[in-house]
Amino acid sequence: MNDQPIDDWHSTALKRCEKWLTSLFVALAVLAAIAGAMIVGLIGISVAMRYLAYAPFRFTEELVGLLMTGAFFLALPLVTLRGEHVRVLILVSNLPGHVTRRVGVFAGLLGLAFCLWFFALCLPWLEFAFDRTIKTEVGRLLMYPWMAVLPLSMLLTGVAFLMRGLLAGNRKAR
Amino acid sequence: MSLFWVVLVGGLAAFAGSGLALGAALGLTGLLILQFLAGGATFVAVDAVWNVLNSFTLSAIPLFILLGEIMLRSGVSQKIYTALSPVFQRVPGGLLHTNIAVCTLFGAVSGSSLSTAAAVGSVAYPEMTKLGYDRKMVVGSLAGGGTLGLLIPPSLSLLIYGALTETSIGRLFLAGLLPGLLFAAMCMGYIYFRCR
Repeated sequence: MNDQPIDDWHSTALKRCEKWLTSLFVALAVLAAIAGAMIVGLIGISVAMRYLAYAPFRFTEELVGLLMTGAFFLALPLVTLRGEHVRVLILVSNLPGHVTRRVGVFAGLLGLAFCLWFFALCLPWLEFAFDRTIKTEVGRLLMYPWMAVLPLSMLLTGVAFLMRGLLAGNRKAR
Repeated sequence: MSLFWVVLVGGLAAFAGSGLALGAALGLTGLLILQFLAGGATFVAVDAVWNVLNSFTLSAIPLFILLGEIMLRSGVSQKIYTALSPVFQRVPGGLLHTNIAVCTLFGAVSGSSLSTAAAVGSVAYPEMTKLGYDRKMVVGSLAGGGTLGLLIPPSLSLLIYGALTETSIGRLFLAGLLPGLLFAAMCMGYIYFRCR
């Protein structure tokens, strides 16, 4: 094991990390998909209750909004790790290999910087909601458990950006 | 004001040009502007993101995208295309008209130009290149027809515009119907005269 070149050891460690992160992020994406299915189900039941039973739910609009936010942020880390965002690649794809590698690392670091900055902004915002146990206006749904998804997602998305940057650097170096 | 444009254009060019996810590039540029040109008002960013995503009206967007995906994956778009193909067989332009007609129909369901172009293009492009149609015309008709998804109701762009400006989404949808059909007719007219 100790005889292996550093590059190989490095890339094996990165692959293991990526695999582990993918499992975690897929689990979160499954939760996002469940939230999406709940939105469809909730709207269907709500329409039936409103027009057939004449007894509309009070909380549908608020709960659908919260589920959509939750679904979006729970799916974000996996989408980032797989690089399935909308990206402008016209410049990067025309650069020489060694420059592409550096630009890939730079993009990963920029993504990490954005996520950490947004994470830092989320904390006082979440703390405010937690201290005052803020609830939604009509349905009186407790909001901070939903709001906590934002900083969690930003932290994990930052890790995904970092992993992409490291993988970009490692892939071209070998 | 000029510094604002420098940060906006320069930031976007540098961040998006590096291959960073477009959302993160836009977010990072926005945060820089808020931090350095708006007196450090970055705290509004979290509220803005939360308020936009936490909107019942906008929950229609993922559902329309899902609908478009279902139509694409289930093969319904292939069936619609096959059903409409014989209609324009004798008209100059043939299947190019079918592209526009299917895009019009698909636009009335999906609400997004991208999913319309993807759904119709994935069926039409291989078929038409096999039949010897001019590739430029095929791609042109698909790209032009794809924009009908944005114009013909339901449209995601009109939905977002209506939600953000508090304009009646029903009236916006009605306003998009006639221009959408007119645009489809003009595309077909152009194809007819070009291929005559």
